[in-house]
Amino acid sequence: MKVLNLIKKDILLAGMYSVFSIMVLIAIPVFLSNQGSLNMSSVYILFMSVSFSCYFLFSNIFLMEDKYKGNLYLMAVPYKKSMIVAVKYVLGLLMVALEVVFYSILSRIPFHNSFLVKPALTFAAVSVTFLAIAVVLSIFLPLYFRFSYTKIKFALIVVMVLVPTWGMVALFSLIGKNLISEAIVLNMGISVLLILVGIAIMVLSAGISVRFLEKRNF
Amino acid sequence: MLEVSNLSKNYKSFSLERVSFTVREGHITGFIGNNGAGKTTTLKCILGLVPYDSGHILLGGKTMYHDERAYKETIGVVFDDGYFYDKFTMSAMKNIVAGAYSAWDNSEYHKYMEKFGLQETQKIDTLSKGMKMKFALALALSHHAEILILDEPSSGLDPKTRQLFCEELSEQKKKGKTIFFSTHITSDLDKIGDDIILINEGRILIEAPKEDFLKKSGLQSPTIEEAMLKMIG
Repeated sequence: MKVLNLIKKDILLAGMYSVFSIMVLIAIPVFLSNQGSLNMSSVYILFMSVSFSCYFLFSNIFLMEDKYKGNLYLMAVPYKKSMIVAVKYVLGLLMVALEVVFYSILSRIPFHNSFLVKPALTFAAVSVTFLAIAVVLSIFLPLYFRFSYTKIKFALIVVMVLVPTWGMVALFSLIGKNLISEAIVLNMGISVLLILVGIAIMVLSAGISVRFLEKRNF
Repeated sequence: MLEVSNLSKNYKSFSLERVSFTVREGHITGFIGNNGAGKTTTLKCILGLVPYDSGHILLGGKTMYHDERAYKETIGVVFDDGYFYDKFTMSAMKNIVAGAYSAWDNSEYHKYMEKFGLQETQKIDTLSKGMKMKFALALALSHHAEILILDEPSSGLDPKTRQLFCEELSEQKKKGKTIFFSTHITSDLDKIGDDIILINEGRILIEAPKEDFLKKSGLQSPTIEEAMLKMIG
């Protein structure tokens, strides 16, 4: 219940950008799936959508939190610091979950002898995206709790925008994979393992974020 | 009710040095000093907004580090700047704050909102300073807090709102609440204060009941402000 209160607070704080972030989750898969002869992989489409959506959402939440210094009031009332931290990670995961739902629905809608979004979603794509987003969130959320938004806004652009557009593509090319167009094939066990690794990284990162928040001077 | 002992906090340009004092239960205690004396830093340490380097803070026998939730449940807090999300309505802000307290009492909240003449559908950024302070007080009084901690609550308020504010604090004292507030407007304490704690350059200069505080200045019938200026020198 308390977590829901804080999630609602963040969504209200972002205002219209919350709606915009959700629209991004729908618009990017549709746009990237309909680029003529260029067939993009579902993992690339998923990662791009969630990264950009999270960027718009978090940058506006952080901006508003800095503007109103509202966290100072929240820290003085009986919300645990661990809960204040956890909400941000949950919000990121919520965006992944929403995108999986949207992608699944959009990839079933017929469009021009095919489907509105393609290729079809695979569990392997979801698990790789989950791990990638977990890493991204786990890098910038501790930075946010350590510093104010004004100090990390460029880091946020690098982590949330440049990494998904170029960083991941470059990383996969090192192992001879074309992330943009090649489908990732993994067996179920590896996919589950990737999700568990993602969760472990986020738990570790959340612990660091709590430590930073405890040490921060408001 | 509130015991602070040997509290130290070092910044580059300012330090709290072994600050110790006790706030008596059921009393109104004024925490006074010039701007930059260490009042807000001390309050922030008590509220867990600033980690302190050493010392102990006990509130009703509880420390924040053992049970942060239970510790904060007992406090009603009012800040000078409000620190609300100004784009929200008072209703939305209340829902966020209410969610934090297990003893939140909506009927109390509505009682105070009506008493202070506030409409909860109004956006916070349209409120005057006085109205924001009333809203902050309504929030602080709606979860049966044992102690009210207020940071410069009366600065920037018009005389009528300050009078209402002082009357409300006196009313809360009669109900058995402990009130601890920092201020540099000492005339409010002349009217309602029981105890005075004077801080200067990060050190406690004196902690005494109001009458003793005034006597120690050596002046004839001084106000708290006159006594404070004499002691700071």
